[in-house]
Amino acid sequence: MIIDRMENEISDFIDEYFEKNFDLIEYNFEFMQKYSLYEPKVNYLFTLKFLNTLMKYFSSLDYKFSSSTLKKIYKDINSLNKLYIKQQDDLKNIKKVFYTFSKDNRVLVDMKDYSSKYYNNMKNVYFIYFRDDFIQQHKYIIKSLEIIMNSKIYYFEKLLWRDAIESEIVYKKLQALKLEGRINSYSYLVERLRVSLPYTDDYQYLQKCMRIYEC
Amino acid sequence: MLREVIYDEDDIKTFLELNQEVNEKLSKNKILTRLLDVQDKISILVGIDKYDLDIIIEKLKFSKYNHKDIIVKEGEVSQEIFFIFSGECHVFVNKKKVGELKAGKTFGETAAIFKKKRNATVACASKDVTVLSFVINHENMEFSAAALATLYKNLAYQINSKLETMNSSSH
Repeated sequence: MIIDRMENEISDFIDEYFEKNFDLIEYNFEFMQKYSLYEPKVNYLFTLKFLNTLMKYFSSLDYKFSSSTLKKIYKDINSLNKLYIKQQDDLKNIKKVFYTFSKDNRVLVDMKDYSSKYYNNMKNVYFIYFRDDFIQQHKYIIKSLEIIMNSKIYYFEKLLWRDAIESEIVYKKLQALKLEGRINSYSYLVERLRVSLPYTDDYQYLQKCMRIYEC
Repeated sequence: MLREVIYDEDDIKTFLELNQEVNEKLSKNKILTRLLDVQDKISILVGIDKYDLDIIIEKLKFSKYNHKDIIVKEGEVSQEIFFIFSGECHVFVNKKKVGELKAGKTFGETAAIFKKKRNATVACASKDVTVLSFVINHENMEFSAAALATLYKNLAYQINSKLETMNSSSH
């Protein structure tokens, strides 16, 4: 009986704690489903830093660069990314979150007044349930954010190059680079790597990005 | 809710446009993989880099035809080049049979290059004929000049070889 009550209390607290994230995830999944957005199998999340740099670079070349949709998706992805980074840190705060839960929990508060030994034992049992549930929900949030961001980054990249080609200034700059093949992330990265210093962190990162776009 | 961005109708339209491009690309990739398996057998595509092939070729598709189906009709205007994957076809000019085309042969290249009307009708002469067809994409010429040069060299060789066969059979 007490275990059931405990489980429900923990579950309600965690649901409330993650409520905004769940709403956001649900909204995004519905959006993706409604418009049949593509869910790539390749990890485009890794290329976000490269694409953000490219976005800033193109914007610095042409102040009129970037359509309204590109601006929105850029903002959307980076706001999702902030949340994603914050969520990754949230797991480190599990004890802190549990403290917030336990200090207001009626059963535990009553127990504390009754016996401190019994309270500590019960608190440990509560924590084990809390931790398991928290980790499970946290994993779902992280995984869902990865799927959503990966899809949006895929569209962000396509839109970024579409706008780059449409901008006269950016296009001229890219033409001057004499990229081989189509103007896209892959050909741009090939050229960037050709003129970059090898064995640096930046080089290795760009090389990994290139392999992703090679697929 | 943490949602900061609201996409409007124009944004959705852009997403759907990109979706269409993505789907076309995915289906092209599938066919391209099949094409790469047989690239060496298609004389006009020999020596073209895999990456360039993706750029210079568009509207790539595999089609199946039945016996007596017409693949191209004399006088028609179209830019498609065909490669017979399996089966056999007959060539007609003014409703008169002038030749046969077996698996591994290419046709339609003259009309595609010179942007002229089809000078012959090609019809299926066997039960199942599988044909690979494509159109040459000149839009990205500046980025794929070498590949297009190879393609045109191959096509010129192909036309020359057909002319030689015609000349020898007329003598």
